[in-house]
Formats: sequence, structure tokens, C-alpha cells
Amino acid sequence: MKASLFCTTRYDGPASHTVWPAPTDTYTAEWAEKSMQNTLERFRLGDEVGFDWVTVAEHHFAPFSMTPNPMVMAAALTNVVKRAKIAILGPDIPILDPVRVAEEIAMVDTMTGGRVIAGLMRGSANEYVTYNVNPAESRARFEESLRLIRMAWTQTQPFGWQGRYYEYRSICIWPRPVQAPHPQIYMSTASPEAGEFAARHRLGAGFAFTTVQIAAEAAKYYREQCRIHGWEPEPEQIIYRLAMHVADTDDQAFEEMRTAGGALPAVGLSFRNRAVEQAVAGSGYYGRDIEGQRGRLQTRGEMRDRIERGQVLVGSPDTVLQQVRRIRDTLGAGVLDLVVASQLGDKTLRAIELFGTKVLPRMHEL
Amino acid sequence: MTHPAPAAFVESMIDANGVRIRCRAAGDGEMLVVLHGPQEPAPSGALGLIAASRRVVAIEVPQGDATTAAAAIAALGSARHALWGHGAAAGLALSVAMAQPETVEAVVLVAPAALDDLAARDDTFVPRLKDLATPALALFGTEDRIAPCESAHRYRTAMTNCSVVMVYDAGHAIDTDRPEAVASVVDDFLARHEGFLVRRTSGLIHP
Repeated sequence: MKASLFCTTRYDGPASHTVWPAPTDTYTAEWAEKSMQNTLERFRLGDEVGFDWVTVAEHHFAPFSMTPNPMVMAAALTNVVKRAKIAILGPDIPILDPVRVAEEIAMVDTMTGGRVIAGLMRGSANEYVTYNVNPAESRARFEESLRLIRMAWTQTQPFGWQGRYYEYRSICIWPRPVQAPHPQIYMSTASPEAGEFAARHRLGAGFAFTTVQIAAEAAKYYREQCRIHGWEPEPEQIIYRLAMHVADTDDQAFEEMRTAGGALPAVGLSFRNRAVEQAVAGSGYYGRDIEGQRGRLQTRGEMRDRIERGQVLVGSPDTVLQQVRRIRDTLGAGVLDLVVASQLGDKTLRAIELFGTKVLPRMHEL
Repeated sequence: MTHPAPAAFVESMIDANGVRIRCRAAGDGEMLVVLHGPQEPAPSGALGLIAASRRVVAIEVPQGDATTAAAAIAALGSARHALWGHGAAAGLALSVAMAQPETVEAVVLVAPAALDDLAARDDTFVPRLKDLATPALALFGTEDRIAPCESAHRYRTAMTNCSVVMVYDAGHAIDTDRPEAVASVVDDFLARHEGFLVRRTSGLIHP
């Protein structure tokens, strides 16, 4: 198994984590700069102690994550992360210009000599307000955009695109990706529609902010669909994202995690604005499994329950390794994408170091 | 986005050097001649939409017979026109354009599957395509397995002045699968040739 270190570039100063968009009236440039530097330092350490990947992602208008353009952070990481792959998980492609996404990922792939993982995402419900895109068209835009991005990476002669949502007269990107034919593509496959699409187009699968049981069901469906399309995903083609905190002892790790408020916010970004979430839900954004998709985003609870549900890894290195084993046995994920509790300062760095030195070597053998 | 209603095609017969040719026509204005083989179904929805702004004449040509095609086009009495060829008929359109460059103002190749056939018949044909200055537009459907997008580069490089456009979510019958998408880009190309690369529709939201 492999592990990716995901630092969301959380704003570490005082800010509202319960509303979206979050007002910036408590914002200071000093805290923002410090938070950005902390992120770079954590990624640098993660690379040094052996994390296989580092993860950046797109979120808007919230102190939870100050990487509205994850490509910018990924580009900065090319100077900091010298060995690990840079997993851009990812741009929210239905709200972006697909040609620009293809160009930016190709740039980072070139800067790193081919160390980019391309997660192409739909983004959470609230993101459709960000650039004023109709969430009812999210899936159709996603599917078309992904096909266009892949074509932009592989065509060697200028071509136009006459789509349903995108129209271009001439595309021929420079640079092209280093990896041939293109970086490995992942998408979120929590919903049945997404599992079907990923299987049809031979894409990797990602599960985030869910429970291991729910993800296991979705992964089973994805694997079945892959079989129908005549292929079997490699273990590394299934990523599972959850929170992580490791300390020298279980008690210490639990206590620190409690101090940090559980690493994951009490409410997911989508649910910090009920009116927006309900309007997006009403648009058909969640697809045919609307209850399941909304439900998985609201699964919160006590630490022990969250460990049990595979939402968080907490404990000493030995304990965390056991939790990792259980996730592997239940889900069969080949990559864990680990969100670290940002607000613990040096203890966050220690958690990264402990995971890298005491858990990862044994995890690699699983 | 609204589109005009497709025009209705009227069938007639024309004489091309003694060969009776079936001909279906709709619309008024500058002429787009659609070359197709025998037993083709009625002109596609895309051609109906294109006929809202120009005259579209579909003529049925015996398999690959460029001489009869040229005679049939002459019988239409047009001094200058654009050509459309779908699939194997794209080769026919290219043959006519090569033979009569002064009368052909533009060529539209729809899901072209023609270069190998043309090369097999005359190994000098494809190299000579480089001399064809006529603006060409080649459309490929992203789901087409007969003329796949992967073959598009061959048309782009074989001709000096060929624009390639991929039509998303269309199979080999591109103009039937995505009539509005095809009509829109072909209309624009026929009106502006290479200038169609530059957008001219307004992005203004609230004047």
C-alpha cells in the first residue's frame, strides 16, 4: 500500500468554519502567509520521510483550504517535493476551462519529470456557486471536459472541439505531459454513475469523506463495472481519503486529536450553507443515489466511532497500522490519502514524521 | 440556443453526361454540394439546418466516380460552390476539388475514411493533396470507430489548409448524431473559411 500526504492549506488563524462562503473579516495576511509556509514545510517533510504522494485539491471561499487553484500549489511544490508524486486531486473540472486544466497539469508534469497524478473532480456542491455554473449540468460537463482534457494531452496536431458545453476552434497544447500517453487519471467514484463512467474510460477511483463501508460498496460496484468493460483495476487505482494523526502513544494521539477538534470539521463544506446545498441537491447534482450521496457527507460522530467507520486514523504507529490493515481488508484501496490536522503545529509535523518512519515502511509491505 | 427548423428537401433527377443522377435540394443562396453514394438515406438533420442559410444539393454518385460527380455538379449550373463528402465520399469530394480547384471554394469532410482508398488507387494522389489550397474542414466523431479521432492528424498533415474539429459524443453518422453542433461549425466555416478560428459571437451578458 501507498500513502499520500494531504495538507489542505488550512488558514490557521481565527476564522469561521461553519458557514460558506466564509467571511474574511477576521483574516490577516500574516496568518495566511504563515499557513502557506506551514503547508510547504509539511509537504517538504512528507517527501523527506517517504510519503509516496503529496495531495493538493481545489476548494473555494473557505479557510478550510486556501488552494482555490491547486495548480499553483502544485507548481510551488515542484521546488519542495523532490521525490514523491504530486497528486492534484484535483481541479473541479466542470467549473473550469478544460484546455487550461490540460495545460496546467502538463506544465506540472513537465516540471517534475512526470510525477503528476491527475485527479479530475466534480467538486463539492457549494463550488457551483463559485464560478456561477449550473450544478444540474455538472455531470455532463464533467464527462465532456474529461474527454477533452485527455484529447488535448494526446493529439499532436491542432484540433477544434464541438461539444455540448465546450467549443474550441483550435487546440494544441505546449507543453505536453511527460507521462505517455498522459498522467494517470482518477475521479471520485462515490456515486454509481461515476463508477460506471470511470470503468468505461479506464480511470482510477477515489473515495473521500465517506466511511470505509460505504466506500467498499461503491468500490465493489466500480470493480464490477470494470469487469464488464474487460479490465481489472490495479490496487493503486483505488484511493481512499481520511484524516490521520499519529503520536508516540495512543493516549497522546487521542488527546492531541481532541484538541484539534477532530481534524475534520463538524460539517462538510457542502453543508455549511444549507440553502446552497438544498438548491444544488434539487438540481439533480447528486444523481440517482441522492440520499446515499448526501448521507455519506454528513457522517460525523465521536472519535471512536469515526475510527471504527474508517474516517480517521488515530493512535500510536502500531495502532494506526492496524487501522490501515482493516481499511485494506475491507476496501482493497492501494493508496490512502491522509489529511493531517493542520492546527497542531509541531505535533502535526511529528505525526507526519512518525507516519513516514514507523508506519509507511510496514504499510508498503501490505 | 435556438436553431432554425430544418429545411425540407425536394427530389429531382439530373442528367450528368448521359447518367441519370438522383438529386435532393433545399434552401437558397450559395451552394453546398453534398456527394454521396447510392442508397443513402435522406439528407441528415445537420444538412437540413445548413439549408436554412444556403442552398444544399445532395447528389447520388456511382461509387467513387469523380468524373460523373464533376459532370453532375456542372449540370447544376453553379460556377462556384462548396463540397461535402461523408465517409468514403470524402475521397470523392477531394478528387473533385483536386480536378476543379477553381470551382470549389471549400471542402467539408465528415468522418472521412478516404486516404487509404485514394492512395491505393493512385499513389501520387495523397502527396498531391499538399498542393490543394482550398480551405478544408474535417469533422471526426469522438465515438466513431470507422473514422476515429486518432486518424484526424493524417488529414491535417496531408493538406495545407485543413482544420480538424472533433465532434463530441458523435459516432460515424456525426451529422445525424449531433446535427446542431455540425451545422453550427460548418455554417461558420463555409461563411468565413479559415477566419472561423476566431470567435465572432458576443460574450456580452447585460448590455
